[in-house]
Amino acid sequence: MPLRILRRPATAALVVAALSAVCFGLLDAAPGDPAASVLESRSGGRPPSPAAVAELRGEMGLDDPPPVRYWRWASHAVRGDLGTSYMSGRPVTDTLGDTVPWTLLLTAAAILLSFTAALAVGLVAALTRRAWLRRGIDLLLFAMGGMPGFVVALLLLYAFAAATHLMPSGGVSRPGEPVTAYGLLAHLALPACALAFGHHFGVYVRLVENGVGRLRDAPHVQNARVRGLPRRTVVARHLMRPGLVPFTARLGVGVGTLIAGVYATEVIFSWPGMGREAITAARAQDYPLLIAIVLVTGLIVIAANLAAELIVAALDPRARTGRADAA
Amino acid sequence: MVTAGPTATDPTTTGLTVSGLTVDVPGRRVVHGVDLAVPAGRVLALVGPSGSGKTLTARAIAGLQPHGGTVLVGGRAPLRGRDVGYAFQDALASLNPTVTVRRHLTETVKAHGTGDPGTALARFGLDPGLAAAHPFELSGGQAQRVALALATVHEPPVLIADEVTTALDPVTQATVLDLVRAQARDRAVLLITHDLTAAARWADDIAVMRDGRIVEHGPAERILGDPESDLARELVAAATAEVPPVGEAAAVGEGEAVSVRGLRRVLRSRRRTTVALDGADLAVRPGEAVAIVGRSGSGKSTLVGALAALDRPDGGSVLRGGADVWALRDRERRAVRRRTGLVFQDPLASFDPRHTVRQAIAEAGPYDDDLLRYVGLDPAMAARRPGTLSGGECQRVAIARALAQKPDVLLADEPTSGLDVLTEQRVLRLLTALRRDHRITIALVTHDLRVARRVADRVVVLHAGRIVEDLPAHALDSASHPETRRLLDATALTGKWA
Repeated sequence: MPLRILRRPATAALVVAALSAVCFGLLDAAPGDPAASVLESRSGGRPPSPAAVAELRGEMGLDDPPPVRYWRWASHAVRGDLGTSYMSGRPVTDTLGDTVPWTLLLTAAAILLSFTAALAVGLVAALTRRAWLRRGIDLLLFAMGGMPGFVVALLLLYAFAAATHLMPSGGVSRPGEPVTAYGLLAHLALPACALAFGHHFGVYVRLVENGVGRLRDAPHVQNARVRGLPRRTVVARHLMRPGLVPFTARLGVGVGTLIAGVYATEVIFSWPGMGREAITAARAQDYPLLIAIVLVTGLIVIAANLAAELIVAALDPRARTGRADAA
Repeated sequence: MVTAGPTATDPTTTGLTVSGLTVDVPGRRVVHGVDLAVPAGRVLALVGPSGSGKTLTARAIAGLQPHGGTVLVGGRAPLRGRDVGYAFQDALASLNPTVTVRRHLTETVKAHGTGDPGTALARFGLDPGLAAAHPFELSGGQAQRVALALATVHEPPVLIADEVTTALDPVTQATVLDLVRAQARDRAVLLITHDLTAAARWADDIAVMRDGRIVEHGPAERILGDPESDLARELVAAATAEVPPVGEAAAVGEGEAVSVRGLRRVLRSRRRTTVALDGADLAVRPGEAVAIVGRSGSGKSTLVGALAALDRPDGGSVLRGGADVWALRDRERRAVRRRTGLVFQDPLASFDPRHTVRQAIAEAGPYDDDLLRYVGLDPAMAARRPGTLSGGECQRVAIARALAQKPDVLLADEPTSGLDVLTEQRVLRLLTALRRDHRITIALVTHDLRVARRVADRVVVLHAGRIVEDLPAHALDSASHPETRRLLDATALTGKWA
């Protein structure tokens, strides 16, 4: 077991390296010329002369073969230098420092919300003997299954901000006011909900519901009942612990799905995270910034997967010994 | 009607008293007023064919099943979990795979404030170190003993053992039932079983159940020596039935229908390598029936896989009609497989649950109503799904399916181990008929020497991947190898037979 756990970070490092290389290659293969974009924006939209473009390409080192450029980028990156933005000229790490915490905050809030709600709704669906309650949950999930995150976001905006003014519609504080804990929480609520209750939410509810429901009459649960254990123990240890393994195993993937929606949500709610930066950087072919954003996103997903694996291993000893069939 | 045993005691003393117990499932009543008395210090075996309501009765007593009538332990209504310990049929499935044996034991002790995990394990011959293991790390016999230790750790006055040895080989079965028997020193033990020979050996009293009613209830000696009810007579007859003389069933031809030479098979998993077969030699003549007998883990099922030309051996050869099947071309080898009928221990698992009986058979060969008639089933069953059939019916459908592919060799892996004796007899008679009517060669894997004697001309005993005994079925009693003796002792009709 210790060996297996040590092996994970090593694998993760390899994945990050591969991710950066693939990303670098893809951006390189994309049409367009970063040097031309930069000149165009400096001159206010006028097409630059080919000579100027060629000169800037030389300055930016874009004429070197891709492996050379990748090596240059990577050798700086391992020392913590992710380069400077083509457009703003700011060090990429500064931009990340300003935006990543906001994105992390929003993501973490959404994950917490999404997974605890899925756990609660799923357990109710699995354990209730009331048919109408189960049917109601089915209907709700069915409706949510058809709604992408940005639709949820717009609905929430309309219902809680535009129509009723119950909640702030965007940003992290009222204009001109400092950020306070309470104000932040209020501003966080809508984007976090929009991100948490997208169409993927139903999948997690189902994983909980099926995982736990399947075991409701399993022999080992009956055995726990027949031994006269307190209901609390029967449900928590004998029903939930083995029943939540499929759900937990999916958490890592779930974080990935959730993060895919975070940038759109940030733009809709004017959240000062990486979202806006990512979209402008992609449009302007601001490669250093774009690669950094992709890498940070990848790191978050990898960390989430690692955490999920550790939780599964803690829940289910079969996962520790590498036994395939987690029943 | 109910014959109250002479051992029925005053219900105010210790022990289990059940009166007028009824159990309903949606739409109908399946247990009709059962009366039982198990005094402390005695073992009562509740015996009956599948579907007779034994397990529902036991579950009702344990408080797992809503019921009518009264259940008293020591003259009082039992507290659920405290007064009745219950060991399930499938021990492994009755343990939570994610927590250790110790956790199972201590949570029970904690819930009732009494008992000692170490004592409970030791009582069933288990090392205290086993407490650290997770259920999936246990062998079948260990899991069953852990389940029994768990059922008795808090010292309940009543222990119910529900078919606890069905899946175990006879040697392990004898060990486990000896330990269950020893429990009767301190408590009342209710042993649920479909195996009258097990009841005869390990119970003081026997209650015979059919269709939700107790048809006979009394001391074991009396029921075995002088059964009063039809069912008891049938069960006793099935258990003591004479072995059919060899040669009556079918003429055995010359040469070899299927054989293996120096067969070696190594099973590799992530954690260990097991030599399942270590130079096994076996030749089966056309029309012959050979029983392959051995304990769990002796390599029986691996041998079947090799005989079926499904698993490529690591050494040695598998011959069909004299030709090495692994030297054949793929297409010819598939033809060999088509001429091999397979019948498994769990027939239900070998059917696609969405198929009807007709579809399941048609997959193997052209469907014909006569196939179902031949195995003793109503052709009207063709439209039903396997899940709606009883275990015996399912196994007969499996045989009909094997027949549909017109096999010359039939391989049967524990075809009757989940069936009660009466159903078992019908299936075994059917196998004998197959040899007589279709001249099919049969290789039958079983851990039950009684089954082997009844079906086979010849018995081979497998031990640790080698064939250690090979003799005619009628000469089995003169076997000399210690492993054969152990198996014979474990299945012998000992106890209270007249």
